[in-house]
Amino acid sequence: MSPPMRPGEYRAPSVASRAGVGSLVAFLLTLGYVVAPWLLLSLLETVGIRPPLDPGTLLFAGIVLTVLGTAQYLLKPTPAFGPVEITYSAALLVYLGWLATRSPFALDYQGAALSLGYSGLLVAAMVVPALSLLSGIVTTLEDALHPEERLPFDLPMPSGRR
Amino acid sequence: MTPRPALNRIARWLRAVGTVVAVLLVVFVVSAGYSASQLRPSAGPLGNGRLLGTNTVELTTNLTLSNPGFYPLSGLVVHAQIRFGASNGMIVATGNSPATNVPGGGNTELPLTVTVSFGTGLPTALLTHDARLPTVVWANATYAFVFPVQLTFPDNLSWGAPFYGLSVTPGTPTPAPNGTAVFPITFAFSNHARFGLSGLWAYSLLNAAGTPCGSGSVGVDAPSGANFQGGSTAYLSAGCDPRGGTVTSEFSSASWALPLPPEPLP
Repeated sequence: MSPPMRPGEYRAPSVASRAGVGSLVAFLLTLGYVVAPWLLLSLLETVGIRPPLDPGTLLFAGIVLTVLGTAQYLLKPTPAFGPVEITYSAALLVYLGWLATRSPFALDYQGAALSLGYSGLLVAAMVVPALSLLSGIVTTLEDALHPEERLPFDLPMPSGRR
Repeated sequence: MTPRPALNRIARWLRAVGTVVAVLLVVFVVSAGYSASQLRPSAGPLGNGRLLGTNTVELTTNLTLSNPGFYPLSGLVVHAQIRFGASNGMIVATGNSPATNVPGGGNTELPLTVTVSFGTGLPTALLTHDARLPTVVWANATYAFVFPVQLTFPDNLSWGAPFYGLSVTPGTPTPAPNGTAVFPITFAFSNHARFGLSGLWAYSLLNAAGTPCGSGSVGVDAPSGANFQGGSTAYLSAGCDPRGGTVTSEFSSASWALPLPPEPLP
């Protein structure tokens, strides 16, 4: 719950503070979407394993998801937050779906061959962006019906700023 | 205090559930990866076999799988395919295990049965010559409910011939009062196979022109790994000398009728 506010009393966090935290968000998303896949592919290639994933596509998808994820955070106080959350979630669904179509993962090593299917796991993982997409739709609807209603709850003002 | 708006509560709840699901998935993947790294398979050599009907022999080995991890291995089936000569040569035998499930923290012993059919088409060299046969073994299973896995690896099977070193040694024909000739013959081999042989060796003697001169039989009882030598006496047709010809023969038992490679008679 939040103390009742008079109209126009709410003030969003400053651009500087949002930019600072947004940089941290961008850094973490870059680690997860770009650096981690690149490191994993490089590690597999050093032992002679070539996964069926195009590095260029992985890099492009990672950059797109990082940009959308960072934009989602930065635009949280604005009416664009809901649509950006929908776009980010949809992009993540497409990304997971593309990874699932690359299943199974097959490799040859010293005469032996291993085939590992993972599409079931990725289909289960698609629940996460699906829920986020629904959340974006609800948020977009809320912002359209009741502008700035959610802001004191999603981004509470520090008590000294009131 | 102003209550959180309903739509905002719904959106927040959806995000919270998504976060919980994401955390659970990460925990699942990490634990599944760790558990899979603990799997320990091992296989023993092909054991003693048994003769089946229609010229078929069945060889069995036991596969042991230790699954100390958290998740089960479901629908585990192991297959084997044995070829002659090269890795793309003729298939001489196939093998399968029954489907089984290995629970997390469990162990299983899985029998793999290989069936060799000595019917038409099998290289006759395998009856009298040992060989190393290219083999492919592959296993299918589903790990942790969602990861279908297939592992394939090559191997070589040491094949011991059941009639290794087959030799036919003729004696000296002795004329018989009725115009025929008594012809002693000795039949010898080593049973290098993983199954015993018990039956009858029936033979026909052909002269150099391919004309049958006589026939006979000798009982065979050769356990796995044993040498066998048996003698027989054939009565030759008048004027027919098989020396320089060939011996055609067949090993038979209750359910077998196996032609052996022809052997020259010195």
